[in-house]
Amino acid sequence: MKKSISLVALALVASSFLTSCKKNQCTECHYDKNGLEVELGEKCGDDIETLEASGFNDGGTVYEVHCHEH
Amino acid sequence: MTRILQVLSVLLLSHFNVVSQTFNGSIKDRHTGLPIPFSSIYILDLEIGIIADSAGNFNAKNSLPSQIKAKFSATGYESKVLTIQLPAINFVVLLEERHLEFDEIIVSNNQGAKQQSNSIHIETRKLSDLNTIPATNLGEAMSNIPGVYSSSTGTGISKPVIRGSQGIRVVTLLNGLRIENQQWGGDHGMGMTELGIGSVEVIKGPSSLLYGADALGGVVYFIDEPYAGANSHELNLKTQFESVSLGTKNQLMYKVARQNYRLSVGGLFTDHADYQLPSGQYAQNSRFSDRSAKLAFGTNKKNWAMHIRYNFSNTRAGIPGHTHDSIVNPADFQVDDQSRQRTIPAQVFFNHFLSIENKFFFKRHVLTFLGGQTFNRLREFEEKVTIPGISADLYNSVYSLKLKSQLTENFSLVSGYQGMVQYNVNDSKAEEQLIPDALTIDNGVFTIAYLEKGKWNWQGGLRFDIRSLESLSAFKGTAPIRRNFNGLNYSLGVVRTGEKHTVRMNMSSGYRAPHLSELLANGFHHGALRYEIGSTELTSEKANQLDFTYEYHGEHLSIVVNPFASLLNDYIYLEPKDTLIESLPVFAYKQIDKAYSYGLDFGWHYHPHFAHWLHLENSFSHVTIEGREGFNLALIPQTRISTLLKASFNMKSKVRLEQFTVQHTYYFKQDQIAAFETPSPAYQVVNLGAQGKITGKFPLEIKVGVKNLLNAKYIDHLSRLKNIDLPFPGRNYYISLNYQLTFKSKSYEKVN
Repeated sequence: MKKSISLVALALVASSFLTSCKKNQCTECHYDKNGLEVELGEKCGDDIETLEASGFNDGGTVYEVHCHEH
Repeated sequence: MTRILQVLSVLLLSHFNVVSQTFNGSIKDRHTGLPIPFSSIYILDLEIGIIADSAGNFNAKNSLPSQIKAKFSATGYESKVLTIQLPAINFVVLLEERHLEFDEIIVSNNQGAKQQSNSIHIETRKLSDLNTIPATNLGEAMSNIPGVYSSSTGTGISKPVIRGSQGIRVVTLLNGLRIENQQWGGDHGMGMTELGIGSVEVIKGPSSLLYGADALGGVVYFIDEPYAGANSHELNLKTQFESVSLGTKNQLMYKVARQNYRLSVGGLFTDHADYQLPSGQYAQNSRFSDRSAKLAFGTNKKNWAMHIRYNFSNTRAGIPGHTHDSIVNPADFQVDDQSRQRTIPAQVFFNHFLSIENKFFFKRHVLTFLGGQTFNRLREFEEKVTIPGISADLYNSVYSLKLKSQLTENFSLVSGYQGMVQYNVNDSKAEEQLIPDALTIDNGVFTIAYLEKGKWNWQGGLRFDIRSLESLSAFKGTAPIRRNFNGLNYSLGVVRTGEKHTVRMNMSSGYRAPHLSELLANGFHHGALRYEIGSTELTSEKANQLDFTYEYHGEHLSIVVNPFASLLNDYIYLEPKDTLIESLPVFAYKQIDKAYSYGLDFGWHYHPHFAHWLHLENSFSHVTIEGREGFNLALIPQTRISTLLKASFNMKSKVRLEQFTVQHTYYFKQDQIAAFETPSPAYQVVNLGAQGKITGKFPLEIKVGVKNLLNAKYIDHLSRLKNIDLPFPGRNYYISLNYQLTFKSKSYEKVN
């Protein structure tokens, strides 16, 4: 009984941490050009990081990319 | 040096009593002489709980030192705290039947002394009492303490405000471990959840004698729940739901206690969507979630006791009020749809708190060594989901050595050394740095004398601290700096404890070295919605406070009157500049030579003889902080009157209603405002709660009720969302279930 309670307790505590990892989060991205939002569609994981770090090259101009809702 | 240490070790160890001490006896009613079944004994220094058997007998099988301090208590009886020389065989404790339920003997954990004989007025509250109406967060729960308020950014971020001081002017400790969590930021929360917290002690006003630098406005000291009773194990499941944010809070805690070790382990998960406003709309991006875990391990052998404690927490809280528009329209932040999806801007923080406390018990001395390590990672995501706007890690190593000596029967001395090494490092990936990488080192020595003479208890002490602050690189045009800040502080107080009347008076001082953010800030602080500029010219803040308390404890009425006055020197504040940078207002850190703080906390508790089931509690809190003529300081809490009407029922049925509560809080208008502030109108909030139980071997406690019953639309003066006109939550129904399973080992039952 003791052991099973201990195991249940540890399993529940551990599961609350293990189940909420969202590494591959996806979100809509856009950049602002001439006062208008240009949609880039849904991006996921490393793609978001790359876009946010480097921006989006549109005809030689690099625009800052936003990947969240307003 | 080695030889000296060897000699010291031999001297210390020679004092050990190597015999395990016997401690058994019984607890009886003083008048009838009858045993009190299942009364409890709590050995304070060791944190060991023992439950007497059905005949009121107890037998501590633990390994105990030659002298212990123990609290004896039983339902319906006045508790008793006794210092006992061991061995003690057939020790009889007589308890007096208690008519009232509010004259509980309180032992201050952080001072190890009975509060009734302490000249410092310490507010001690069980978290369960603060959660009579369950609070959404720890800050909200603490605001039920007179003189304590909550500064919040929505429901996910909150921190305590003590007599108008908050953040960097309030030191937070968890079981003696100093918690550092970037509290310099107005919008940075406490970084703590209620998981495993049993009670909280609040010292209002400067307390640098006991807690060193930064304890200028007050101290919050959290204390863990007790371990499981001796030779038993417990499983506790708690769940709570709030309608206003579709918020859930789930907690699981497992505790086990054997003869010489105790272990508690638990986890908490909280998740709230955007909260609903009184209008029916939702506060955009007010969602938040918490995950936390806790482990506490205690052991003792002969004259030694050790506690190892570890806490982890991870919070993600949305920051409402985000806009790119140069003209802010508050209506934009009140939306029709509720969401709990992760978005930005958001504040994300991780905390790890580890402490190891060792206590050595000698005949007349207790030596305590506490070492700890805390880590705080704070990230604020502003415009990008993968690249934080701000990201800083704070490593904090703390250490303290304290010797408590009972030199004569009436005279004791506590001397010690406390220190801290703090390292702040920015993440180079972040877009912005508000403060530079820096190293802060604190060291302080102190001594406090306690003298007891009849009904009088005197207490006085001195402390010297030095803080060394070094920025490790040039920062936004400012060359690296290295500054030292010294502090010499004192506390002197007296308390006279009578049968019904207690009077205490205390004078104390505190100091706070300017923080790096105040010295070197030069950038956007989106969480606080402003651009901040520091000044390297700032010096330490100092405070001196005179605090007076009168307490009356009658048969049916209890009264506490606590006026106070403080002189604040070199007070650091944020002055608004008539400029905007990228649509955010600019503020600069300045210093005012003198400011005054004064006010009153007043409370009474009526428990009439003709209606034992009724409790009526009322408290009044007021604080004024003013600078030179025509100059007011910001964020002064609204004067408050809080009334609690509690009806307790003594039902015997299997399903029983235990308590019904009505809480009414009235906040007066605040028109004592700084240059950039706006006044706040008066408001009132009514909460309603009922508590019941399904009894049995494993009882289930149920709480239901409604917060903000009248669906009042209000914005507290200390709310960070006041500038975007975002009200507090509307009517909020809650239900809370608490399932407790306690198992006793068979061997324990045989012993008793």
